[in-house]
Amino acid sequence: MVSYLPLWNIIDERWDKQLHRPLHAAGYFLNPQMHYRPGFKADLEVKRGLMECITRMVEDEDEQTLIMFKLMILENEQNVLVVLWLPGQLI
Amino acid sequence: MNSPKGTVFLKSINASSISKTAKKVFEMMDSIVEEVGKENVIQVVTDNAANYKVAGHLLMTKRKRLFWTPCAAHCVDLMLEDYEKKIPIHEETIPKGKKITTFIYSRSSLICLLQHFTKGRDLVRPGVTRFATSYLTLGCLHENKGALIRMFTSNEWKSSKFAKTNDGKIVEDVVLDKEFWKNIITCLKGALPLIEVLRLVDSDQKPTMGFIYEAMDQAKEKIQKAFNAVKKKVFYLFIFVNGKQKTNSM
Repeated sequence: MVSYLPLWNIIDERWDKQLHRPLHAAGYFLNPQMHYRPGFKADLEVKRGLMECITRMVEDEDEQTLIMFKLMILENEQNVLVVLWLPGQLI
Repeated sequence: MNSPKGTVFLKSINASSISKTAKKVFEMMDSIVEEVGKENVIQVVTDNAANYKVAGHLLMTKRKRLFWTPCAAHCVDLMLEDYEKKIPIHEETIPKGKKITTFIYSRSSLICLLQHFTKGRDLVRPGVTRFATSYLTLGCLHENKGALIRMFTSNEWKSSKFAKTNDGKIVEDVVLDKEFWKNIITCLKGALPLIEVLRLVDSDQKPTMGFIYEAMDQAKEKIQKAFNAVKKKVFYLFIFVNGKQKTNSM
């Protein structure tokens, strides 16, 4: 029986190891079109990518924490994602 | 340069003298980041070659806020290349397919004969990238399977001078080989979902960053489903034979 596994291995080898995932994962999380789709899942990989982007792109640690905190609240409250982030200012 | 407001051309640099040295490539990219303003750059995209990879990592070490990313289209194309090189069915089927098309398309009388049977349709379709093209050719062959079999069993073919040549015999054998057509389907099941991703990342219509992650996940799922479809049939048959028996073994 022919299996898909060798194909998956090839894809993973290039995709997971060579392409930096954080931006793609963050793009997935923050794209409303994806975020409100029925099958949306913010698994460990997605969340880790998002965090990596935040910690890399925002220098100030307090601001990082604030963003993550806001995201958490938004996730819990009503599952509505409103992230309007301008450098130095969180709305 | 790409931004939410659109894409602009900044400049072109003749880098033929430096492109081999990672450090010089890094210096070049770094000076562009400086020019554009380090607070404005989020991502730098290059192809996936070793020297760019090193340069990309150097850039990420110096510029703490940006990401270096290898080109997604190039990455997917390399996956297709790996398929072709590492998976025996692909390795065997793609050259056979190419053999058919090059054999026919280098002989004008055979092109006429082919188009008679395919009702004018062609067997080659230019793809977005090099390795995608191989699979699109297999796709064309698959679509014209009936016509090709009719062509190579026709009197016009049998009486043509090419039917007696070595190449002619090889190609005829391939076209009349059931296993070959089955293998084409196997190859396409693995490749077409990736070609869809390639079309997405290659489009100029919209920025694709927010879509690549999901597209790649779905491609993998489609591949898995395509291969498991066979299993499911067996499963249903099993239920049917065993009446109400419950099983979760598959």
